[in-house]
Amino acid sequence: MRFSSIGRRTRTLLVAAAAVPLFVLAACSGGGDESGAPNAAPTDGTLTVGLLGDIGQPPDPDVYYANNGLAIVLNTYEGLVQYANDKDTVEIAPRLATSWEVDPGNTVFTFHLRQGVTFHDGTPFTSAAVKVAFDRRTAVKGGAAYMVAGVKDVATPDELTAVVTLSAPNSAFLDYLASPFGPKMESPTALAANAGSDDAQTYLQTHDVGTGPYTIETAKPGTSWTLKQYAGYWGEKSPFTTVELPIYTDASALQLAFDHGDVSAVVAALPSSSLEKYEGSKQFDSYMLPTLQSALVTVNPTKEFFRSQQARVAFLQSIDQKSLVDQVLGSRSEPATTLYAKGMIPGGADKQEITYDPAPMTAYAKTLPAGTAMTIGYASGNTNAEQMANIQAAKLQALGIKATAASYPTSQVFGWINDPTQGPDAFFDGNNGPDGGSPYMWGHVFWDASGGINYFGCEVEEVNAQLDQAVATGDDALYVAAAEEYAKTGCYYNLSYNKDWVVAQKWLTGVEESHNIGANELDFSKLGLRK
Amino acid sequence: MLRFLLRRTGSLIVVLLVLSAVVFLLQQVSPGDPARAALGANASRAAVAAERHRLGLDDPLAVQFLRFLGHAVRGDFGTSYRTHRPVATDLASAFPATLELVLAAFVVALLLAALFAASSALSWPFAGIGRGVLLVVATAPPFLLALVGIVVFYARLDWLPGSGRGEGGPGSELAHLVLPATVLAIAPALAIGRILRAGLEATLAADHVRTARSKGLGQAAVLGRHVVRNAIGPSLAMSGLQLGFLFAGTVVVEQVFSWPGMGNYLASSIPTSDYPAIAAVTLVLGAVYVVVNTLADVLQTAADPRLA
Amino acid sequence: MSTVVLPRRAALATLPGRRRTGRRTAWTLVALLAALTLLAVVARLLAPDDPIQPVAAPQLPLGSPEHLLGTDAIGRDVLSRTLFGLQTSWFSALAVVAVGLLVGGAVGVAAGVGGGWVDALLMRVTDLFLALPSTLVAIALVAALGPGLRNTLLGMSIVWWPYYARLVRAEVRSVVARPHVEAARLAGVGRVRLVLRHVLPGVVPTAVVTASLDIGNVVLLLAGLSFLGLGQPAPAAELGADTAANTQLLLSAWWVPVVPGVAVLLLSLVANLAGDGIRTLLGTRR
Repeated sequence: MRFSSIGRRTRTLLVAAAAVPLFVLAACSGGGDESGAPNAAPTDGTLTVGLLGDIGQPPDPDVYYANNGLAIVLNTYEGLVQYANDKDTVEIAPRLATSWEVDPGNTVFTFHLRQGVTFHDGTPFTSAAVKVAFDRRTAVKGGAAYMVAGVKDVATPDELTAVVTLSAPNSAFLDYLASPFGPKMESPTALAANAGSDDAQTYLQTHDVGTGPYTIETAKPGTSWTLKQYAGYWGEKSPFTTVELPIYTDASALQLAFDHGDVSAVVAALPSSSLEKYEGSKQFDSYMLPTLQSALVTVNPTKEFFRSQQARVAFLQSIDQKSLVDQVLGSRSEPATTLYAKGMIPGGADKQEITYDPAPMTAYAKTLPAGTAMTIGYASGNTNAEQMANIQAAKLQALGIKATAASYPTSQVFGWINDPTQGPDAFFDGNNGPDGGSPYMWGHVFWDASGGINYFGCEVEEVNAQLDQAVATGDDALYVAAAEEYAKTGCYYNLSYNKDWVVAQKWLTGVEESHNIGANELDFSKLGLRK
Repeated sequence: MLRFLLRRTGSLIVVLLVLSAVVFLLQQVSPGDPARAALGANASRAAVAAERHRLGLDDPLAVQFLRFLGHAVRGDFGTSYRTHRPVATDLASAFPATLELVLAAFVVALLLAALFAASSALSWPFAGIGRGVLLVVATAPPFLLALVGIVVFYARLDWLPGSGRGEGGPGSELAHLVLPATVLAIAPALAIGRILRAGLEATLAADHVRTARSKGLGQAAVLGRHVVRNAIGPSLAMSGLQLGFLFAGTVVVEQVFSWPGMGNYLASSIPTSDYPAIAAVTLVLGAVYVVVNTLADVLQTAADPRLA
Repeated sequence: MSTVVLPRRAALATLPGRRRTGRRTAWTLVALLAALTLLAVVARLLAPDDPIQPVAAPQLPLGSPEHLLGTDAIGRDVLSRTLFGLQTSWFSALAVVAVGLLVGGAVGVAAGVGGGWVDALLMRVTDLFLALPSTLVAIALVAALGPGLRNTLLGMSIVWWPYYARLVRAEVRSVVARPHVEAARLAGVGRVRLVLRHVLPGVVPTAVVTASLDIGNVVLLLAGLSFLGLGQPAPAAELGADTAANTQLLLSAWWVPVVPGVAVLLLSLVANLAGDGIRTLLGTRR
């Protein structure tokens, strides 16, 4: 055996060995957009929609209050109304109710229900189901239980008419019903049969009791969900008899599976950095679909740095909205010009009056002691927000402020409201939005400290009162007044109108027609195969 | 031997108790408040206080620890803040997946380690390149390695599936195992391989092996009789230790490969500060690790009673 | 417990060829380690740009004239970030190993020299820690303490010392049993003096070799924690965090995650090889 004199050979080998992985990396990661032929359509009637990350909560319409699991909820359940598909304005369209009347006082809502609808257990859908669904929602106390909190009574004059009476006027009630998180119709028979001790919550973790075009066939939480077409569905059916929803926990792996043809479509899950590859691609289709979501900036008035209103406004003015949005979000969004979401107030009367001007912030920076620290937060894992926060922090650093961007786990973000001084000085939200299309649902959650997404509790009593008044009457002028008043606080900046970026294989049709402004997911029954 | 077994069992119980105490204390210092998490961000302070009382969070620490132990022994780890399901239910589906992955990785690691050791100790020609590649790959960040593996073997070469656990038959399941198991196995393979090699070299140089050789026994027979038997003891202990690293490694590897196991579950729980889930995963994987190492120790002693 | 001191996990190390590296190769490897440390020290001076400020268009490719290693998703110079990240990662790893070595070493020496009940007590505690899966406990610790580099280093240091305590104690026992130490003790040399003059010189080489081999492990574990969002928070540069946060760019701008990833690889590799070199030079066998 040769023991010594091995040094040189070893070194050669080592260099060779080091070169191998580097070479593999360079060869394989570079040049990702070779123009291959489009992937072939499935022949077994299976549509595969890749989900990024576990859906988290169970797909129970009265519990589910997150994002990607709506793909399951909205294809297995239906509400009385929905937002109109393929529109970029807020417009309520029929679903299980074919028509409805609202009394001038916004308290009595009469729904005329669709005939011939059956639940997945075969029982017919009648007006009795409306009250059952509302009651279960109240009992389960999920995040969106507030939507039925104002319901005083549900009368059922006949099998296909439901009259909902509210205890106080609410012009947003139809929006509650149209919301993807709104009440969905559930089979009273199936609910009773599987009630258990928790209003069927355990059962609905892996089953569904809805009327939708699909029904849950197999549920493997954390792994995959399989939906099967419901043969008794009242509406049109798609050629896809089975929908597979595999869960990918890594964005790059999901993208590779899509490129490979193993995934038919990906909804709002790929990183912005991949936009360039798919836009204008000959191999894939790429869609930008309208939503009510925005990128937002929230300023923390409890912090010394932003104690004065002038400082807050100066900060917002120092944000170069257009370049920030273009650079980070690209074609996924456009700079917001209104205080509410796009299309919420007809004509865009709720104009946002923040013009880019770094001068006030420069002046403010000069009054601060050298090296004053401030933190710009973003939710961990939100790449777009991270980039925006970093760019803005870098900008402030150039002014001599010791600005840092920091990530916070979501649980912590929602805890700040209890003690806003624990939060950062400002927070960038990459994508956030209301539950529905009423301006009230926007103003209440973002501006009222009790609304849920007002992280730092920056509120104005008068604005809250105006919003409460506006929701009773549905008066747009009042909504605009409230928004303009709130904008003066300097706590809030609507940065961009975001879109849902959907990538799909070339053979998939009907993507636009299956999407609406509120849902952020596709209605699989409206998809088709290109001939 | 019986005294040894008793002593070993005793220390196993002590270690498990300490592990539970560590996990319990971590839960105490973590910023999350279970009562707040259960009621949501909009609950009033009074409601949270009442919920704290109901959950027994205002009891003395010792009482809470005993309750925690009692629940853990019965497999009750509370409810996940994130999935709203009992953590035990979540783990029941995740644990088999992780076990499968870790066992597969363990087999791959042993194979690679044996190749590494044998090729080095016996000076196989050209095997140095393989060893060099293993060394380099073992020092790369595992998540990058995993992604590159997917790019190369799934996207480019299309030899292996890149994500998920595989359905529809053992063939598909096995194919899905190959990439994640190999990525997971690489670092432990090198560590076990080194121990094995040291043992092999020492034994090859030992007198009785030289004697055996000089008596004209073939190389293979020498290896079989003497070398493996003598070198396997330390490797066994090392393998037990490596199992802990395999479990820890799943946290990263499972996430990249969308493997529905405990590591993936832990990785999803960390950003949401889902502490009941984090605690349960740590406790369960930790307990498995401790038990396996005790077993490895016992086996090693059985093989070589001098160690007792 | 019959705990045998075993090399930690990937106490990777050793050249692919032979275990005994030539002295010249050994010196080269140690020099490489020294060069790397020097590079980490002067990283700030070498970096062409600010690592935190965007300085150019985003995602410039490798070999761009102004930015040799390209720019990341928001237009920061990848070379500058990698250099600064190298500094953070390298010194973080050194800090964790140093704390492990000092605390573990102190416990080990105390146990080895003290003997009797001191030894029994200290080693019981050490064995308890050793029996726990350190990486997993580190993850849980940092998750409980909350993200941030300080917490990460604290969490890792807590689980890192027991191994050194075991190792040093075993070495101390063997040194103490040697005739010259025995003789010195019988001659009435004081305990402190005994430790300083006779025990430590015998123990230090092994400890140093193990520590240098260990740095690579810590670098990799830090990177892993960063991948889980438990490392250095943005926007400061840290190799593991930069690799992890940018993996989603692997398919569109592969150099952004790969450059810091390769730096992690090099750090870990050099630490391992240099550990081997030191072993050769000190002539210890473990």
